[in-house]
This record gives sequence, structure tokens and C-alpha cells, in this order.
Amino acid sequence: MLSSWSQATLALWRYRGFVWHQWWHEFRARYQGTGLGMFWHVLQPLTMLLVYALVFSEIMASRMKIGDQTIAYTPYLCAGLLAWNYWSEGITRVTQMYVESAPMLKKIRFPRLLLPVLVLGQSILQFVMFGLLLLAYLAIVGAWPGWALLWLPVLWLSLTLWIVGLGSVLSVLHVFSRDVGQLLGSAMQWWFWLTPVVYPITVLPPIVRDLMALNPLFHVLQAFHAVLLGHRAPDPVHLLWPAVLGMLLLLYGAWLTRRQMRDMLDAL
Amino acid sequence: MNGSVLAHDLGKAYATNRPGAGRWWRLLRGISQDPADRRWVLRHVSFALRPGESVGVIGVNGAGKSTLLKLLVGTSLPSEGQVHCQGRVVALLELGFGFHPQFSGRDNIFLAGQLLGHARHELQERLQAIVEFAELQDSIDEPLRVYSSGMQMRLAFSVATALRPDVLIVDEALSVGDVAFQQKCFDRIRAFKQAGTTLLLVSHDKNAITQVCERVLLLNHGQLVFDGDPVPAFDLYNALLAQHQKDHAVPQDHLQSGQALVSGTGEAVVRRASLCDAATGTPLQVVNVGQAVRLELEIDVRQPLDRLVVGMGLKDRMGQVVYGTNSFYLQHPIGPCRQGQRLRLAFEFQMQLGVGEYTVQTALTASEHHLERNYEWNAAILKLTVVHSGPGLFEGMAHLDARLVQME
Repeated sequence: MLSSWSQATLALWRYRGFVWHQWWHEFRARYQGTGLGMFWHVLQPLTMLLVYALVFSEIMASRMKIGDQTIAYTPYLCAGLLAWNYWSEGITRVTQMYVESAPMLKKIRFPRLLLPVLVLGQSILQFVMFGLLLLAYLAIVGAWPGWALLWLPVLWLSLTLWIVGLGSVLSVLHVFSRDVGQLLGSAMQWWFWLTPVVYPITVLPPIVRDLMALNPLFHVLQAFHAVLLGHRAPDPVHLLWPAVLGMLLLLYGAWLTRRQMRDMLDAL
Repeated sequence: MNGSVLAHDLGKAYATNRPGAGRWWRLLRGISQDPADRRWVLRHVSFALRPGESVGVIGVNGAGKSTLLKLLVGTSLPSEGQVHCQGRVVALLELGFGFHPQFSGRDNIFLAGQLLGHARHELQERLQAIVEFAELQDSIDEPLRVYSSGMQMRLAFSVATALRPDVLIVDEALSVGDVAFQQKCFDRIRAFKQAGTTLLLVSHDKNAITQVCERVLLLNHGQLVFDGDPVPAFDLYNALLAQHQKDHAVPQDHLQSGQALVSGTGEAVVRRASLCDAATGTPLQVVNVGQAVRLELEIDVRQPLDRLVVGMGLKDRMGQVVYGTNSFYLQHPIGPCRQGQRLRLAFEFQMQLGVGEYTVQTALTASEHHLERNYEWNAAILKLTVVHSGPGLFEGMAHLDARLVQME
């Protein structure tokens, strides 16, 4: 097991040039043919942020109470969306990674462990873009999180582990039945409203809140809110729950992929 | 040691139908396909190749050659047994994979090269050589979409072979640009071989294989039936091919595609068609330019006929008839024919055609015009490949056998 992990790292290093090229390619291809080109990578999230900021600061009730703190709704929503969008984009891409790369898998040999890294590139970029804009917004409205920001990479890692963990299992199933991808699409709609992204957790009855503790995304959002809005270290539970669950799923997913790779290549 | 290839009791089976109920549970427990539910396409194949050895892989269509290649390359995994290639394996099967039309030729060298596992600095060091070999000095910074397909193939070959691989797998369908460039590619492959690369050449072409390979693996129905010298291997192959043609009078892939390739009223039908060497009578799928061949036809007459015209034609890949004639043109009247009579005829000719793939069509009619009283018309009764080896290279679709003479 250990040797295969170190082999994976080595392969990643050997193919780093290829990974960069593919990322760059996808980055350029996304808005290819548009007049503004790469500016859209900034304009899209900026538009989203501005819409929320304007709508909620002017039209809707813009402040709310979380615990003993009163905070503005716009940063609350945006901090939630930062995590949610990364997760929903990421899990969709990782689930489809084998099917999406079928021509490559069938034609040439390359380390298949590169695939999650390849497909997550775009989601990571969007996460960083939106994150930077959100931080700029926080700085402008005088709510700069300060040193707590150093937790952000840790939160990202925890969330990524969860994405790759769940994705490693779903991606195998998706090869054998494309229903899995469709099912995931519907599940995400439900999942979004079962996670406190747009509403504060305080509006829920206690029993629902307890049940929600099973949802890894609930913990992820709590951690993001703590860092970006509360300006403090996240609760270790919020950090560990998605990471540990993700790690366990990843171990199972890696085993499953190993066992099923032969049939997967035949089925693609 | 780098370059050695080992296959031990190698087998590959594909699932014949989709697994039904309970498959999710099996899947999640890591249990693979049901063994009862598979069709073997390759089985009990064992061989060992020493580094630097050149080996031809032959077999009639459907013998398992492509499956073996996929297993060697690693794009498919064996159902039983093991296969192992030591060192870097390059397969010239999917040339141009990883290319992106919007990027320049230079960018694509890095894109495709890195996908093949070359490091960036290795490509950087050899950039000049890659561009020069592909003869693209003037257009390397233009986007790939403006390249001709020949230019793209040249670049692809050049990138794939920028570094000497330990094991090189070449498919016969390797057609890269014009004849001169093709020659250049084979020179490079020979140079690799001399430097110690293990070479696996998949081909139907006896000449290509005997020129390069000292050993041949012959596959038939998924089994390795012969492993040894090229000459006896090809004798056995020819025997198997004759059997195969008997079993498959009409090419299988055409039947499967469901196209209406055979039409007519059926008073007379071509029962069997085969192509063989005019001198030795050996069946052929691959013909050398200029080779004397016979197209043998066995015709069953099912109704009494006053007159029968037997025609044949050769079509190129685009479906253009490059040559066609019939018994009327050749002033060889046939008929009247009895019901139940079996005619055995042969067209003898020299294959004075350019290199490429051709389809043979046959027509049985009452007159020289096949639309009138058409007994049977078969648009694709046989397929053949024309290859060229040796001196007198040429381009184009006709072999005019030009000579160059010095004039006073």
C-alpha cells in the first residue's frame, strides 16, 4: 500500500508538466472564442458576489444573528457558496473522471491516479478566484478575518479529501452505470437545501440540527463560517469529520478501483 | 533487464451480456464479472522476448492481435495470467493522441510528448530534432488546425519516437505521410532495433516482417499456435488464411454493418471468391505492387441461363473503381449454363496499383451492363491491401513502373 502511494506521488511529479498543460488548456478553453477571454474567470464570480451584495444589503434584511454575533447576510451567503460551489463542481467532475477520460484511458497508458488532479484543476481555480474576491469584499466592508485566514488551506484540504474520497467510489460506479451521474445531479439539489448555505442553522429545530451533524457538508460550512465570519479557528470536529470520512471512503475507493479497473477499462 | 517482454498464460475475456440484478452489491464488494458469462478472445498465451529482439505478430482478422497489443500496452488488463514489459513502452498505434488543434505545433510537442511520459526537459533538449525530423521548421509556430493530416502524422511520429523506447510496438496500419517519410520512419525504427529496442511488429505483410523480424508469433482464434522462424510461420498462416476465407466468403464486418452490399435476382451467385498468388496458389490478403495474382471465383448457377457475364472490379478506399472488367470485355463468352452447374473461373492479372487498401466487387449479369438483368452484384466480396517493398518507390494510385534513363 505504502509503495503504491509513493509511486503515485512519483508519477504525479513526473507528469507535472502534463498536468499544468492540461489545466492551462482547460482554463483557456472554457472561455475560448469570447471577446473578454480570460477576464470571464474573474467576471463570473465577481458578478455573483455583486448581485448578492446588492440584493441583500439593499432589498432584503441584511443582518442576522448567529449565536451571540450579529453578522451581515452577504458574507454569510458567500462564504457558504465558496465551499458549496467547490464541492458541487468538484464531486461532479471527479465522479465523471473515468467516463470523461475514456478516450485517453483506452488509447494510452498513463498513471490513472492523475485523473482526480486533472479534473479538479478547474474547480480549484474557481475556488481561489471566488475566495480572493470574497476576501477583497470583506476587506472593503471592514470585516477582514486576519490570522484566522491561515486556516483556509486546512479547510480546503479537509473538503478536498471528502470530495476525492466520495468521488473515488462514485466514479467507479459511474463507469458501470451512467445513472449514477444523473442521480448525483438530483441528489445535489436536495443536499443543497439540507445544508445551511442560504439559511442560518439557528432557524432549524434542534432535532433537525442534530441529524444534520451527519452531513459532512454541514461541518464544512460551519468551519468556513467560523474562519471567514467568526475570525476564529474552526471547531476540530467540523474540520475532522469530512476529512476522516473522506479518508475512509478514499481507502475503500482505492481498493475498489484496483479490483474493478480491468472491468472498468472493458466497460468504457 | 530493460526491453524484455514476458507473457505468462495470458488470457482475456469480455463479458457477453450486461450483469443483471445484484450487480451493485457484487460491484461494491469488488467482485468482477461473472466467469460463466464471458467470451474468451485470447487464452493461454505465453512467450518471452529478449531485449533487442524483433518479433512479428501475425494472424487472420479476429485472431486476437489487437487484444494482445492492448494488454502489452496496458490499456486493457488481462483476465488471467500476467504480462510484463520492462522499461518504457511506446506503441505507434494511436499517433496524434493528445494533440489539440488550437495550440501551435510547438505547444503540441510538449502536450503530446508529456502525455507519452517524456519529461519537459527531455523534450526541450530534443525540440530541434523533433521539428527537423517532422520537416516542419516553417510551420511549427502555427496552430495545428492549419496543418494537413500528413503534417500532423509526421509530427506525431516524431514526438512519439523522440526518445528511444525499450519496447516499441508498431501496427501495420502505420501510414505517416508520403512514401519518402514512411521510409524515414522505418529507418528510425531500424536504428532503434540496432540500439537494443525490442520491436513488436503487427502486420499481414510478409515482406515487412521478414525484413525486420527474426521471429514470428502466429495467433489463431485467440491462441498462440506458432512461435518461431518467419518462413514456417507464414506457411502456416497461409493455410489458416485459406481456411478463413472459405469460412467467410463475404467479409464479416460488412454483414454486421447491415448494408445492402449484395443485390440481384439470384439466378446465379458467387459462392466463393479468393485471391491468391498466380504462381504458387497461396492465398493472399496482402499483395505486393506488381505481383501476379489470380482472383478465383466459384459460381453456382441456379436457373438455366442463355448467357452469363462475369465481372469484377477493384475499388479504392474512397469507393472509386480503379479497375474493372468482365467476361464480355475480355471476349470470353460464358453460357448457356445448366441449372445446378458450378463454374470455376479466375481473373489473372498483375497488381499494378498504388499502395493502399482495396475492395473487390463482383457482378453476374446477363449483359455487360450490370443494371440490366442483374443476377448478383456483390459490392465487397474481398478486401486486400497493396504494399510496396524494395526499390522503385512511387506515389499515386497506378504503378507505371517508370525507369530513369540518361539521354545523350
